[in-house]
Amino acid sequence: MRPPGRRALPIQLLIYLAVAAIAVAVALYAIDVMRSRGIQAGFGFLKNTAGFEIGFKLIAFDSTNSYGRAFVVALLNTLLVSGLSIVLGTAIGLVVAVARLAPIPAIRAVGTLYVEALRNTPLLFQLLAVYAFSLAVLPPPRDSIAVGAIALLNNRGIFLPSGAMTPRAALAAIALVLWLAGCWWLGRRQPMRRPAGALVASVGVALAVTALGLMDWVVPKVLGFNVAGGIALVPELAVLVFALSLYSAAFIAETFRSGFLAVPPGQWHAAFALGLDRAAAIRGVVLPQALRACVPALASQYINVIKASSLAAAVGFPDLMQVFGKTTLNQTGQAVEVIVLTMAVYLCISMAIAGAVQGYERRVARER
Amino acid sequence: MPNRASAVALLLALIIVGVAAPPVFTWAVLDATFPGSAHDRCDTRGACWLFVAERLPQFLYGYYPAPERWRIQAIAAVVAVWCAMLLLPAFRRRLDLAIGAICAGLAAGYLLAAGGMLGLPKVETNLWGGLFVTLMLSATAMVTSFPAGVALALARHGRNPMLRALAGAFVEIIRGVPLLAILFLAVVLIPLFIPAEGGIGLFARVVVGLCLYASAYMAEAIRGSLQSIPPGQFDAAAALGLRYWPAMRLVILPQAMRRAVPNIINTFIQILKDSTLVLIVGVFDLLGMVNLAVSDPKWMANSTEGFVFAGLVFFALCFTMSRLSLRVERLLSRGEGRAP
Repeated sequence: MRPPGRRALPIQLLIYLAVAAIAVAVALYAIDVMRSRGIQAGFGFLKNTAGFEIGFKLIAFDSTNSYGRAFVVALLNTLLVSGLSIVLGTAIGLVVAVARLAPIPAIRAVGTLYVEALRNTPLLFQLLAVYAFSLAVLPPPRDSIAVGAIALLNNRGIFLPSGAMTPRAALAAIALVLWLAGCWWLGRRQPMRRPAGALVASVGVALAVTALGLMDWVVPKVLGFNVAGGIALVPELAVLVFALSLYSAAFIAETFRSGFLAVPPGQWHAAFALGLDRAAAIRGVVLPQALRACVPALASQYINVIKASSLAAAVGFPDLMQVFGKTTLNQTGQAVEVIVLTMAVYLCISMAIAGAVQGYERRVARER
Repeated sequence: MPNRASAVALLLALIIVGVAAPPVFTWAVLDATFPGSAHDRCDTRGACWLFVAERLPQFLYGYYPAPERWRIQAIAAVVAVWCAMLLLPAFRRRLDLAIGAICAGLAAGYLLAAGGMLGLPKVETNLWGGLFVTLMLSATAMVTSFPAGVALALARHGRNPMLRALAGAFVEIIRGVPLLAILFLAVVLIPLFIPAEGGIGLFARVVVGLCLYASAYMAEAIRGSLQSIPPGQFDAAAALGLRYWPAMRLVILPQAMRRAVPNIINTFIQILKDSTLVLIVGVFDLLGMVNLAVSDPKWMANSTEGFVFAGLVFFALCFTMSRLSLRVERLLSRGEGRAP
């Protein structure tokens, strides 16, 4: 099937010329407008002093730092929100998927209810509702709710114990990494038997507990009208991660479910014929195949989570969209540069994940 | 033991429902204050549905002036009648009529709502709001995205390298960035790039942003089904002597569109849900009006009632569409199996 050929060539040429002419005219007009408004061009503004504070940051930042540093701080916040939401969303999604496939109708109903309720309302609605609700319900810092004597919950956020690295804790952590790397290297050739696996796991857990125990922990305490010590997760971050992971879990659950359903029933029968019980059949036979089937769809869900994390701008959490798309754009007026930069970041992340999935699919296709 | 685990899970689920349901029911119904009840003020115990009743006009119409609201009601009535008519046997299979009616209805809706002619007073778009704006925005994005999506899908599927690259870049860029970035782009950059007397209104810019977004996703939904058409269909059309456009119109697109229907409806749901993002750039749709109402100190304590209302409306709209999509899917899978 060929599109119209020779006859259309001059027409096509005309269309190209027209498109190019319009593009040039629009660009010239825009340059004119920007010049008349005194807007500077170029990315030089990134070196200028930002002059605003950022409420939540993973690296040091104050108002004397540059826009460039603000960009990095905001990007890290975006990655933090997305990362936390992806991990939590996957965990909840897996549980919901198992519930949706359970042999008991009542459990299936609960799973279905969850998926339908969350998929059929807008994420922004859920986010704003959770935000309003949590601000209305949570007490002021003076009456903080203590969670297991280590964490505090109030309307300024969640306060978790902060742990500082000590030399001895670092030593234990390095030992843990070496142990895991060594076991992986030894077990590469042949799969480990059960006792060896238990040994690997128990030594690993022991090392991890030692490392955590040797760290310098500060538990948050209520001090007058405020909370002292510990890490403060601002309510915006907590609400954002909460809403984002619950919403994405509904979609991730459906992805897992279709992955499970894609495994032919013969695989189940074969696993049972080998004498495996249901749990062992899932772990050893069905899950690996199901995961392989749902990797591409799962990756596109993760890309959606990263894009949806930009809704931080709705609750005022300083992510990339809030700090750059709103604050920096309003302050500098360099709309084209700011928007291009912001879009480029999201585009790069999306394309990197999509590229990785393509590589994975190619590898899997070769292995078959 | 899986059965024991399932039983424990079931018990847990029942306990959760048993613990959560009674207080929710008490709050929402037993202790609640309904409009028309003896009290004219809410107590603090139960839900205050008076709040929703009092703000209902704003939730539905935004700040659209009260004496002119009959126009929106008229649009809604026409749409309802038209939907009912599509169910009549005579109009059931007339896709052309349906599409024509949608386009004409949407254009008429805009003219009627904006006014400024035929003796109707002009109503500026910054007064528009509420459910009316949600439905207007999503309907516009859905209707525009359809032809744009078909064109983009055909361009990406075709052989012309230039068109392929352009359509591919457009779709991938739009799908690779958040809708919010596209809305900012439309709101901030359109005035810089397009000369207009007195500027382009915020509402129009937001509509453009939403349409760009919807077109890219629609293109992908349609391209997927275009790719699922077996190559034999193209060869058969060519063997019959059909050139590109007749072959597309008579052979390929009818099959592709049929297969694309579930995906298209899912994209519609996505558009409806994502249209709420316009509140971040300052256009107040249903969610925006509810959010605005509960930030009023007088009603701050009643945010839950407001959000429950908004959530139920969105759920009703999206759930209906998702059931429709499932039904179409089932219908299609039955049809595909039949010999021609």
